[in-house]
Amino acid sequence: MGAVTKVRTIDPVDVSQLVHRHQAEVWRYVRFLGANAELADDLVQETFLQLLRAPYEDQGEAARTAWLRTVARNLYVKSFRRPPFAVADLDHIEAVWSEYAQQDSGDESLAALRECLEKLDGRARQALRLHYEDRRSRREIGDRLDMGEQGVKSLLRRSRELLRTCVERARRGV
Amino acid sequence: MTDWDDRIIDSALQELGGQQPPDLSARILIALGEEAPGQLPVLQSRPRTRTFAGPAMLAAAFLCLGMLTAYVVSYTFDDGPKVAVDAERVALHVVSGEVEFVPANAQRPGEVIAAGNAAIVSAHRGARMFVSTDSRLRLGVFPTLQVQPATQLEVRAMGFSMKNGVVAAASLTIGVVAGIVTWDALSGPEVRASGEVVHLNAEAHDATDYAAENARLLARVQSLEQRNASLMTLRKGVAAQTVAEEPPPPEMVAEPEVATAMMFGDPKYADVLSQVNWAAMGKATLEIQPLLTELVRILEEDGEISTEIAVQLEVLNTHLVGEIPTLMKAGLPGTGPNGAYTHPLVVANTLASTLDAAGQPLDGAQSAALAGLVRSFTAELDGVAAGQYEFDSEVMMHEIEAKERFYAEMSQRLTPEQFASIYPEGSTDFDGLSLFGTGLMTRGLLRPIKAANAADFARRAGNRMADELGFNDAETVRLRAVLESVAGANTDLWGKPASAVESKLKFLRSGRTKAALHNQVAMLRAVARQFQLTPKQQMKLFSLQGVMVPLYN
Repeated sequence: MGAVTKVRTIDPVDVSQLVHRHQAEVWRYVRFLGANAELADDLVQETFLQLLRAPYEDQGEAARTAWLRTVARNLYVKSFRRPPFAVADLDHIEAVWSEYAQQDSGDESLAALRECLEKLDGRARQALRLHYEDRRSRREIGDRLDMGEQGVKSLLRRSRELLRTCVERARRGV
Repeated sequence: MTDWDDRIIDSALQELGGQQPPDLSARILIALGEEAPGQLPVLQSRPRTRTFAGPAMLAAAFLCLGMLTAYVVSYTFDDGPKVAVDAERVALHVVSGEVEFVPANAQRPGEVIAAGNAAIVSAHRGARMFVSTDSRLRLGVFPTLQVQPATQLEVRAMGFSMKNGVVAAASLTIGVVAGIVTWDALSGPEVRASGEVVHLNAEAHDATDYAAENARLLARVQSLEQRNASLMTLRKGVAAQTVAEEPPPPEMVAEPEVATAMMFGDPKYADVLSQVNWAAMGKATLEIQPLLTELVRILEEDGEISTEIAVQLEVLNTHLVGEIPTLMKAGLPGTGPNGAYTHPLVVANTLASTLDAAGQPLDGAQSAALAGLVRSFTAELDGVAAGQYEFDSEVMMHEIEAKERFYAEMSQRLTPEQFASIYPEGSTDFDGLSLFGTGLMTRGLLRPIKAANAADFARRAGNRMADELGFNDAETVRLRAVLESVAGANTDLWGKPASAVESKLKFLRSGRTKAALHNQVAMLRAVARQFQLTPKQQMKLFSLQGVMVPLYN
């Protein structure tokens, strides 16, 4: 006889709390995979409905989080005719996400990113602000900063790289 | 860095830029409930209610104070120039047909709104509208929708994009669950059927204009409904008595819709200001003021915003908002829309009507003294408006100083009892908390910057100003040094950490706004002196109005 796992079913009255607990992480996860905001809304809804419809046995928070991510990812992939990324990338995708989200749905990383952004100066900061806050196109940013579109693209990528390093250091407490 | 490493930061930056995870709990619960009738769990409070809806509704209560910025605004340490905010409370107008509105956390039947009527509804994500007959409806500032019979709509998202304290744009996304919807877009007629999504946008001036117009029309609707109710009561009374000759009881006669005569006038503005319903303004002001101070007291003691009080404020505020379009037409001088609201003519008339409502009317001597003050300060403010100043912020600084002297002089003419009605205890502790203070004018122009010291402030404010002026990196570094030098010398700016009232509600501790404004003018002057600016940069610098205020916890 195999080992008996202590399980419990989800009480319907806990649904609201359950959604509140996990929705931000699932939403961020599918956005990270590439879903736009509206698709992310739909995917999160469907993910939770699958969880609530199924005779799901809850084995704790970590397992539940992983289950939700897996379902959300599968739903995202199904929304394409062709897979949006290679199956071989999955381990790396999960590793990147786990490092970012850790045990707090990504809240700490987001806070660290906000701080890192404040430390950024000059054109990098201007370009990020124009792109992410003002939703300007690369061409518009290029006009403003007197750069070509390719230059803006490179600048944005370099800036994100700097931010990523900064966030990693912040999370490590360096 | 791999592509996925890049994506994770990209999506996080998008979130910081405004695309934040929504609260989908209501939507999921509704979907779950529709799939399995009877299984719907009890909907619990949404987690964002306290942190979001509280200040949001408070801001809504301050439509006139924040100049019709948006129904719902979430203020925190907003040091960005543009902020995306959600909206929940909005007017639903039914032009023709009939619409049943069901809030996100409720089940059918909902509120049925008939043709020609409007209602303020909670347009949370997940709210639904059911239409059984050909209908035309309009939500808030968005275009009118033509809805075919047997159509069901669901609100997916609604929000305002704020820039410099005012609405820059508004957007609404509605899912068509069943049926067909059409509307006129700029590019021509648009049609959406079951399973599709309707995206609507409204521009800034439309949003503010419509918000004011909506409020005015809603007030008008309420007034007509009251009159109708009175007439119906009267009719029943007459029918019951079957005495045609007998005059109706005086209390049943509908009050004529005549604006209360204003007490303090000026020939230049009399025509328009005489149309303002000062009695309504006074009554609402009298009720709002103690609620505001109570709201702040609770926040200071419990760290929470009272939703109950915020809702009361929102309702009362509709009376003030209803008069805003008329006030705006008067063309009173002043910085920003609340420059008119804080003009001595408006203040004195509001004061008189508020005291009337409190049963403590001004006596003859007080009225005469106030009339003199109004004349004197109106002339002074005309002078300020016509004066030559280097910076727009400087104009505002002089205007505020004149108005503060007016408020001080005015309050000295009041009896202790009248003073207590106008300035309840605690109302002067924070700028903008009193409806009789210049904080109303400045609150919408504040740009709080999270900074613990002058260097921190100079770095962040410098980045912002450098963006505005198009400075290069070397100039930005110099700019920071200049700003740090000025801000560091202004000791009034430092030493008092921000309270919850300041960081959550944007009511700054009394005096902080004025110190920040003086600092701002000094900073601008230093920049103008120490940099070789192009004419375009000079224009930008001179016209900067947002007041950058350092705040730290």
